Amino acid sequence: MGAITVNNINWHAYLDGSMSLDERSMADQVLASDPIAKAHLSNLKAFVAQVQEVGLAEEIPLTKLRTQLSALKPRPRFHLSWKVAMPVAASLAFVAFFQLGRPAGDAPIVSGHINVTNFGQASIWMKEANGVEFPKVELAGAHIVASERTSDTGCFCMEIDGKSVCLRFSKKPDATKDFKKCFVDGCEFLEKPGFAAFKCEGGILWMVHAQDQKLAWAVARKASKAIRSI
Amino acid sequence: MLVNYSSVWPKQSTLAISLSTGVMKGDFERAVRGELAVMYRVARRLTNSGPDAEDLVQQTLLRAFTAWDRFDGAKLRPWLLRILSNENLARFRGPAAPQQFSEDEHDQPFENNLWETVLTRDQVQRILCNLDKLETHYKLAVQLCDVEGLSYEEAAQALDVPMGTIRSRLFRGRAMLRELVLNDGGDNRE
Repeated sequence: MGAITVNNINWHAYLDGSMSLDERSMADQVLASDPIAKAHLSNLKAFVAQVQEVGLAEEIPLTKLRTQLSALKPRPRFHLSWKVAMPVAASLAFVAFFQLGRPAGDAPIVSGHINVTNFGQASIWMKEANGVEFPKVELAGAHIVASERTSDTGCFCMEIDGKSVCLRFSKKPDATKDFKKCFVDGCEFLEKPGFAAFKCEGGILWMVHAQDQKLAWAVARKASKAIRSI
Repeated sequence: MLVNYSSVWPKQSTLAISLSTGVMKGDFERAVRGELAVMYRVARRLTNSGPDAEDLVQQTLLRAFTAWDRFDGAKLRPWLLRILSNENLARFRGPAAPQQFSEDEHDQPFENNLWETVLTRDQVQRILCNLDKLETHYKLAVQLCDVEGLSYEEAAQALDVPMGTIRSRLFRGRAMLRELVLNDGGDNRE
């Protein structure tokens, strides 16, 4: 190994403090004994300072940028709290039932709502639109109050012992970023307050909502079991 | 009457935003206001054009605003610059540009050319013109570390590359810039 000279020291690393202690000590020795090295380091420092000075002096249309920033507008999003949404939705569903007169099971549409208490009827109606077989949730006192379908989503709203629960599936990737993962019965579930969800074959996401978290879990577990047995 | 039950399901992880959009917008504006100059300068380096830089900053602001609820609150500047860099890539997305660097670029030795020559005032004034002539990777490293004063870690976060890569690009970028400035006869003054 040859002598350490000004040429084989990484002065950039010296300047930014990323040298090891040994390397720095050697560089300091060279600096102390070699005026060329000193001049070299000083010029490198000066160059970096000049680049910064010139770079920061660049003209910036700040007023225009600030105006653009202030003009940013959030996209309006509808939000209704669950406490309000569920009773309202349930009431409207019953109004819809009386207005429609009968389930629109034969209608050639892929989206719509019906209000039937018969699981079998609602299940056929659902499968027609999206091919997904809804699991029957075997919980005492559970009955369907309304259903909604599109070509890639479906939702059954139920009442169980007077409490509202909705079970929904989506073939689209619904956002579950703020859900916590957990494992129940060896299966992966997702949870956040008011919701319990799980994914099954084909990437379909099933999500249960209930104000009562225990109830949401009970329905999610039943539904998950039922789906796996289909 | 139809009841849209699906409207009550969380379609996007934006429920929190919708609850407090007013507060959020204020927070965003306050936080980002101080970063506009840095964003513009970096955009200017990336686009080599003032109007394009303004567009890029505007696009970045929009993108950052919609993602504000996902910002972890740790390092705003690298976060914004990363969005800006990604937005710039998205603007010109098409056939992939030829990769100029090998993965282990930071392990390659670089020429440690000497720096004795002091720049004249005239040469100093031409630094920016010549900085724009560097390849994007190099000029961004110089811009972020030497002009904006970002640490290697922050610059690496902003550009989504390892720290060693930033160091290597910075050292080479400085050397190439100096070479350009010294050899510049002044024919490219704006």
